[in-house]
Amino acid sequence: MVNWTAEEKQLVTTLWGRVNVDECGAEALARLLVAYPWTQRFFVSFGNMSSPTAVLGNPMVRAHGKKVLTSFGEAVRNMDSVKKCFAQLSKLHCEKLHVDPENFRLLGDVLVVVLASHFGKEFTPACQAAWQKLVRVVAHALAHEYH
Amino acid sequence: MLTGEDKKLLQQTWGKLGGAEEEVGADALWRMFHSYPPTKTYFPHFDMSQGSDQVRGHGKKVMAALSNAVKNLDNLSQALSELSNLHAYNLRVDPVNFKFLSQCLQVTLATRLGKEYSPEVHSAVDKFMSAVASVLAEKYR
Repeated sequence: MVNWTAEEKQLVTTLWGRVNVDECGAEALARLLVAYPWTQRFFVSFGNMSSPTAVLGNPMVRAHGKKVLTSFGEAVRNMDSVKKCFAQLSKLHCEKLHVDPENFRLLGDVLVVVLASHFGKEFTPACQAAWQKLVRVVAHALAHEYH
Repeated sequence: MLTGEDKKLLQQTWGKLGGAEEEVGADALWRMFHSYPPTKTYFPHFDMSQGSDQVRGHGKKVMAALSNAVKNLDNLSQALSELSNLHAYNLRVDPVNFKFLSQCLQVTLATRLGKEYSPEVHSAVDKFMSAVASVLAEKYR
C-alpha cells in the first residue's frame, strides 16, 4: 500500500486537472523516443522516426502517446490502488508486448520533465516530489505482474 | 557519445542561464533532496531548511563544475579529473545518485526554459550528465 499525504494527493490531482492529455502524452512519448532512441525498438511499425522532427510529427507516435497518458490518468484517479488498477496492463506489457520495465521508469522521468517545461515555476520541488513518487508507483505497478 | 550538435546545444543552453548558475544549482539540489530523500544522507552536516545558505553554496559549486565541463566538452576526463579523484577516494557517493541529480537538473532547466527545452536539448543534457557521471565514477574501483 502506498502512503499518500493529503498534500501529495492534492498536488497531483490539481496539476493533472490542468494537463492537456493529448498534447502532453504525444510530447512525452516523442521525447522518450528522441532522447532514448533504443526505445524505438517497440515501435518499428510506426514508420518514420529518423529525426526528432520526424518523431514529433509522426501521427502514430502522437496517437500512442495520447493513449498512454490517458491510461496514466487512471492512476491519478486511483492513487490508493494503482497496482490493482494496472494488473491487467502489467500482464499485457509482460506477456504480449515484452517491454523491459526499465522503460516505464524512463517514460515516468520524461513525463516529469514535460510537466516541468509546461508549468515552469509552478512545478515546485514539492510538486515534483509528488509526481516523481507517482511515476515510480506507476512503473512499479506495471512491472508487478511480470514473471 | 556527444555529437557536434549536442555540444552546440549544450553551450547554447548554458548560455541562456544568464548568470543564474547559482540559482539553478541550488534549485536542482533542493529538488533532489526533496524527491530523493536518501540523497540527504551525504549531507548530514547541512542545514536543510528552505533557502539554506549551505544548500545554495553547494548548488553554486556543483553548477560551476558543470559549467566548466560544458566549456571543456572535448576533454571531460581531464576537466573533471580532480573531482573524479575527490568522488572516488573521499566522497564515495554511490553512482546511482548521479542519475537523481541529472533528473533534477533537467527539471530545473525545463522549468526555466519551457518550450525551449526541446527533446533535442533534453537528449544532449542527458547524454552530457551521463558522461559526467561516468567520469566521476571512473576511479571508484
